[in-house]
Amino acid sequence: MSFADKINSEFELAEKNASGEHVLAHIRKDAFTSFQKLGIPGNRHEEWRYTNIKTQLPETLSIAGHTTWNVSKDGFNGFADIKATKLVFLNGVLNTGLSTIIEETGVTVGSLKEHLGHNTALTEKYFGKLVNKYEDHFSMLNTAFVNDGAFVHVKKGITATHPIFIINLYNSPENFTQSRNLIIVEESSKLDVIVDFQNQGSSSYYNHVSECFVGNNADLNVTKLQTSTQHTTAVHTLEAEVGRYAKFTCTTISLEAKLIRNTTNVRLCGENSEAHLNGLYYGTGTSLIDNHILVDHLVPNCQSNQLYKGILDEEATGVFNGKIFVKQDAQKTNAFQSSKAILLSDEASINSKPQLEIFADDVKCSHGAAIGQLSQDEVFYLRARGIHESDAKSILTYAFASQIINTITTDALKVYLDNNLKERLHLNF
Amino acid sequence: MTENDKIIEEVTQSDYKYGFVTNIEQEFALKGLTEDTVRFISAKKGEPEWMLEWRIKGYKAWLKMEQPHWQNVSFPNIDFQSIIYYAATKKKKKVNSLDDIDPEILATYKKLGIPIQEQKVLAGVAVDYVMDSESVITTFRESLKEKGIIFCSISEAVKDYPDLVRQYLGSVVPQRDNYYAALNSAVFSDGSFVYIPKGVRCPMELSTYFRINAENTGQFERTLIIADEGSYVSYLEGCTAPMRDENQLHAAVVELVTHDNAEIKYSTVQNWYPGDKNGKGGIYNFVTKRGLCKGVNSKISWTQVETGSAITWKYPSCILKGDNSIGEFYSVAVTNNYQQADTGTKMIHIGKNTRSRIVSKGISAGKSQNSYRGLVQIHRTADNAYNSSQCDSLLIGDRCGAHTFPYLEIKNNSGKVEHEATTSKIGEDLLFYCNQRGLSNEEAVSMIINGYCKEVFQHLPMEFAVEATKLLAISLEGSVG
Repeated sequence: MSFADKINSEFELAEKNASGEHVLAHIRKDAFTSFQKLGIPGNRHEEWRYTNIKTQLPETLSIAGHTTWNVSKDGFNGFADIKATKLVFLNGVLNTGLSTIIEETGVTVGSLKEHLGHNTALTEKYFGKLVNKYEDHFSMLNTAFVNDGAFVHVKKGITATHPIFIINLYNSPENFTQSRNLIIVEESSKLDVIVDFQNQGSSSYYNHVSECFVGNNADLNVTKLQTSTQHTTAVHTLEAEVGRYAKFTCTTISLEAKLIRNTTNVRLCGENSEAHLNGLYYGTGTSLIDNHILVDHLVPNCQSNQLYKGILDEEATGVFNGKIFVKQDAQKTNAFQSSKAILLSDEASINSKPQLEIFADDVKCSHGAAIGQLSQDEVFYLRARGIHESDAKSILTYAFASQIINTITTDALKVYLDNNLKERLHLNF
Repeated sequence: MTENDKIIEEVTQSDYKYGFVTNIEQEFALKGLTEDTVRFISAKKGEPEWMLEWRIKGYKAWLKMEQPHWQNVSFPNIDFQSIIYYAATKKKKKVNSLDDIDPEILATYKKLGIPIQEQKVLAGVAVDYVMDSESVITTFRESLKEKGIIFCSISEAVKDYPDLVRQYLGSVVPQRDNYYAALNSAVFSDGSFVYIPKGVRCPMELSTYFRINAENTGQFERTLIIADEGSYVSYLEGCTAPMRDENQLHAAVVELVTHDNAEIKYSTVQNWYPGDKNGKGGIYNFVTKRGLCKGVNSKISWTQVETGSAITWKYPSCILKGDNSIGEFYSVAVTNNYQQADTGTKMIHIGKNTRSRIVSKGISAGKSQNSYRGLVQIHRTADNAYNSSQCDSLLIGDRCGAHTFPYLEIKNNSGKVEHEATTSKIGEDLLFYCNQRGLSNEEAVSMIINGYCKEVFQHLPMEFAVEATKLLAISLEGSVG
């Protein structure tokens, strides 16, 4: 049976089992029909030309299959230093035993499955609405098959005092796990979300989708951590829609991977809204880290910033594609993008494609991309002060990377990442 | 209406100045493309057997290919069977002096503003004129011959220098390179051939003027320039076409080869008919241009000013194979009304210490779409390679688009690649600064745009720089005086 046939029969099965959520049945069906048309992209597809995902997904993978295992409280990194509501997911399914919830008025968190069943007014309004905007292969697959995920809702005018920490654990080399987040931040509210991904198995495959709705005048800050994701083959899609005077920040830190693709699509739908997208990726071994970013300016007077930095060592490959779209009526747009990468070894490589598509004239848009290595002058400066060459290089690499880490607003998280990076670079100060 | 709006309005109303038809007798091939058409063209030109085989190979490759659609332009599918693939001026008498040329053709060139006589005497430019498909005359050939430089039409070269042509033709752009290159290989009618022998610095600028004259014809010229060790040549190319309602196809191939320490400077001023202000008619300019820096320390420099064509789709590229070789690309692309342009370059770094520089300036006005698409590839073998790219786009009016698609593929860690792109309109502060100093809006815009393009224009040979400035003015008439 071919992979495609297998997916088809699995979907039929999943459809039968998914009783009780009829409202979503048509959304799933439509998504699956779209996926059937699109299929798994090969490297002939422009968006996937540098990341041959097709060859990296074994045809034996099951999409609807689900396994679980016993994890103790100490069996994973629970980020004890960070005070937050923590939701722990095992292969995409919420585990209430491991989760800790700090109650806050106006903030609802929980299982997406549950809310899809009961909180239909909200979920019907939002679920699957953003991923439809760009017909993406993996988002469609996710919508068709997703079983559970995180549901976060902040009511109008509420400022959440603690961040929401979503910890996703995966351990399944046989399944292509579909996991999902639905984050809704209503008008004039504020929330920090941290999403962490950890691989607990020999290898794992997953397809994660986040949909973020940022209401007028609201502020949502999402940090994605891929720091314990060795042997992971994953596709991440984050879709955000930002309202009037609202602000959306997304920081993606990828320090480990076999193959990780991060697609981040932001639609600025309300005037005077802003988006800040930062990213740091550090590839070692034969890992491939791919960041695809799209900021779509649909209305006038919006602002966006993208700042991505990459470090590629050994035989790692980096892919960067940053797009800025400015629609015809989106006058007075300010959009900036900067992508920098350093190659530390002879075998490392980077494919970068910063892209601007501008249809309005009264705009200021620019992008800069620089690829190089550590400055010999700077290495010399440090060596002249008695620092060993390898240390000098580590210090400079650390300095290069910390620009991104310093943008993180949750202090405990910043400290964690800072230490994590230092450890990787064998720095001890 | 504000002055700015007026200027924009005037921009969209300016007409094409080169839209005349020359009434000369011409000979055509039948419409449509079959193997017989290819044989007909080859026979008509009295080509040797190997050349015919080469063409047929191109034709067969073309049959298997599909029209590419990945470009950021849109146009209806081209019906390749409704194109006439060969049109030549009928009088096939050998011309020895300019006096023998059909006075109608001379009149055409006069209208184009290239007085052959005058240029011959004053500018000292050797010119090869190609009308539709046939090369009309090459001036200055004798004086070049003394230095060993070969400058003739490619069909003459096929007969007179078969060894050179066989060695290099298709070595940079093979028949199966892409859809339009394959088509060109099958039906190319004429073009220029230049060979600069070892150690010779070509004493004058070589130039070709292309013009599509007949209706329903496509122009498929092929240019091949070879610079042998230590030589230098500067080559200019200009193009125009009359106004026609239907779209005409221009699919040319240009191949450049530089050996050790050689340099080729290739400049283009492209002014094919862009269509009227409703987007009707105009030339589809689908061109494959590629240079191979084969030897060490060699250099290829492309400079282009693109103001015409309904659709421009071309990427003059450099393959930097020799160590220390240099590739340069300077471009100004102007689109107005409904024009579409998807243009840029490819810099393929293979040799050590290779360097490349890209400066691309796009100006879009009216309802046009202007894209820069570039590729910088640094291979594992290319130690210490360096690339710097700069792509600026200027938008005039709010119904046009500017796009940038740079691809950077780096596989060597000693390389350095810098890319920068900006998109903006003419700054209010700049205009205000000029106004304050007593310049009208129009003068100010003109000054700003000229300043904006200066970086590219300064790489054009003098005569061309003047022409380019004039062309820019015509293309954006009203806003740039």
